[in-house]
Amino acid sequence: MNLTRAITCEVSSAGILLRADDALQQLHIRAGGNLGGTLACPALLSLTQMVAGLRMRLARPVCVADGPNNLELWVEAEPFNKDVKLSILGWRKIHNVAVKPTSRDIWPDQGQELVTLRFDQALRLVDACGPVEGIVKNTDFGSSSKIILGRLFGPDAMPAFQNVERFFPISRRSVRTLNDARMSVWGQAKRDGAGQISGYTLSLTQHGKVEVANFAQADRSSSGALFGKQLAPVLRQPLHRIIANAARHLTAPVEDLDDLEAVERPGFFTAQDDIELGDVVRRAAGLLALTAADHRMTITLPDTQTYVTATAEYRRALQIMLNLITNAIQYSPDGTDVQVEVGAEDGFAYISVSDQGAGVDAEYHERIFA
Amino acid sequence: MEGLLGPQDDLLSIACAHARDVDALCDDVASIIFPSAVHTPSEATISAVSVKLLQIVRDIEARLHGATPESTCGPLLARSGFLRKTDIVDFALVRVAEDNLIARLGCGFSQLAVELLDHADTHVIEAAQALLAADSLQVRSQGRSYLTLPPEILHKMCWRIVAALELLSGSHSDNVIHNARALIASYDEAQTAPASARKIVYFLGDENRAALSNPHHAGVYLFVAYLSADLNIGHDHILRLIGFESAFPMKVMLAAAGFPEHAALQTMIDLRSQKLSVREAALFEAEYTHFIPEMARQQICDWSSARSLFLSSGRT
Repeated sequence: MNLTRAITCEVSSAGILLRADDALQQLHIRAGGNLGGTLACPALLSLTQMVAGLRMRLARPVCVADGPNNLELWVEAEPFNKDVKLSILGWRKIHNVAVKPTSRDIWPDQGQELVTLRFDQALRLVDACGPVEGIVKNTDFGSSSKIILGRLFGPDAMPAFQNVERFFPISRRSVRTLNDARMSVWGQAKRDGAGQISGYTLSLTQHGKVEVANFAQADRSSSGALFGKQLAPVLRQPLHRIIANAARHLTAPVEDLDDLEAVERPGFFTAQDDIELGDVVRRAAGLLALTAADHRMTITLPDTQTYVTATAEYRRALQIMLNLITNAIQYSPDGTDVQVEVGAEDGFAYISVSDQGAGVDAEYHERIFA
Repeated sequence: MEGLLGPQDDLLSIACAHARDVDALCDDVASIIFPSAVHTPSEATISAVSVKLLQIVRDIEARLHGATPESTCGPLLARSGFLRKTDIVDFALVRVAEDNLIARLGCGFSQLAVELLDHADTHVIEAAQALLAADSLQVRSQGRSYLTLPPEILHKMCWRIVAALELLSGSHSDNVIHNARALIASYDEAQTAPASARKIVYFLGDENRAALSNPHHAGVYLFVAYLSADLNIGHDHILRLIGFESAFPMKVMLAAAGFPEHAALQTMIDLRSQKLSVREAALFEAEYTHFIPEMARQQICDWSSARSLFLSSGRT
């Protein structure tokens, strides 16, 4: 409140409150002071001592505690004979949110359109409720909270979600998404009947349209001139994550080379498993659904009634399908369709993968397929 | 470079671009990891600081002892190390940064302060008058530079000059001591530009926030006072963050104050136009939206504590 008349007091150079208007005297008593005692508001006392020492007129905002609240006062202080005179021109109450949090900060209001994500004890997504379009995909179930939140908010925002990993609550926090919208986030650990942590619930409300980032496209659009722009966020990731990612990228080619060497080894043989080709292609397509979605591609699979059995090593058949479908996604225009068919002919089972890419020049056919 | 063939030219230009980007990246990472690292001031800044401090000493000396063509205390105080004390050097650096900002904005009086002369609240009117008076050329004119000093430094400097004058003359002068007391008694913090700007912001409350956050309209003092009240850090600290070698601290500060991206970029251009490089602008565009205001506030709070420690003990 702005005061119509200044609240004044006189304090000795030793800090004794000599005289005070009623409001200030009451504040002094509420702060534990007594009449004729040392001024009980430390910030005001400090200002008084400064004026007494310097013998100068000072004017500044001063923050003092008043019960659960803080007061922000505008104080002008001046030497007055051998004492100090304080004039309070402004008296404003500030609610101390640290002491008395509002329920809205602890948990969202009823009636807000909430997206609720439930994670299990290992922080894998097990349930999603509310308007989840653009936030959660079908393939996200079972994925870790880090992957889902990282995709939505980007790596730079991950420190805001440290409490999730520690199963600590998150009071209302505004977090910016990758597409520059804002979301309010609340979080709380779930406990079972025995009081043990059984999971974590994260609630989100949107302040704008949220679109899941397409990192693959972002990477492609970056030019060499934005070298620093690309690397700077990467360097801000924890070191262990950078090393783990690098290790993963290095391990994959080594495994590929190992496979190639195994195939060419004289004693190479494959296991003789009874497999069903429809099941193999469905599993491979499921694993690559996210990659296909990034390219807005669809994978058309044989219907579940088609049943083609074959004898082959299951693991290698699945690997072959993953390679073929990955190539189809990678080398076909975005938004097109990849068709996978299975069948049997002349005593042999086959799998066919058709895409709308440029294909392989005829001169390489013999080298690749022979 | 002249006379090189096309492909080599391309190669060199790509290599140059990458070298520049790597250098920029190193600077960026360094400023993130060591945001409070001490940057060596430029020769121009050192010179401006020296001139400013000697000017203040000369003005106080003239006020206490009468004007002389040459300052007698300045060289003595400089030799004694008094003018290299942390708080005094920091004060001078802040004033140099402030002068640069005022020059960069290129506007005279604060338009907002002029508008506030018609405000309904008498405190606001008084403070606006004080701000305009403090900012006026009369106060900034030669001979009264000490009025920009904060009270603690004015007090310390005043009595140190009295001591220097006694040492140089070899005698005790009641007249000089009387003048020193009169100078101190005449000081009124409420009449200084930072305090009057802070008073305006206090009494305006939530009113005029849009105008206060526009440095062109509000002027340097009101803009800084607005940030000071919002972030709860000192006026001089804000000026130091704005004038810092890297743009990173200012980005964090604007994010902490909740500036939207376009307004933050506009403010960066307004206040750092001569310092803002193309790469800093690109980094701003890439990074600003990823700052979380709560974390930025925490960071500012940490810097504020480090600065208080630095000013009180001279080291971090």
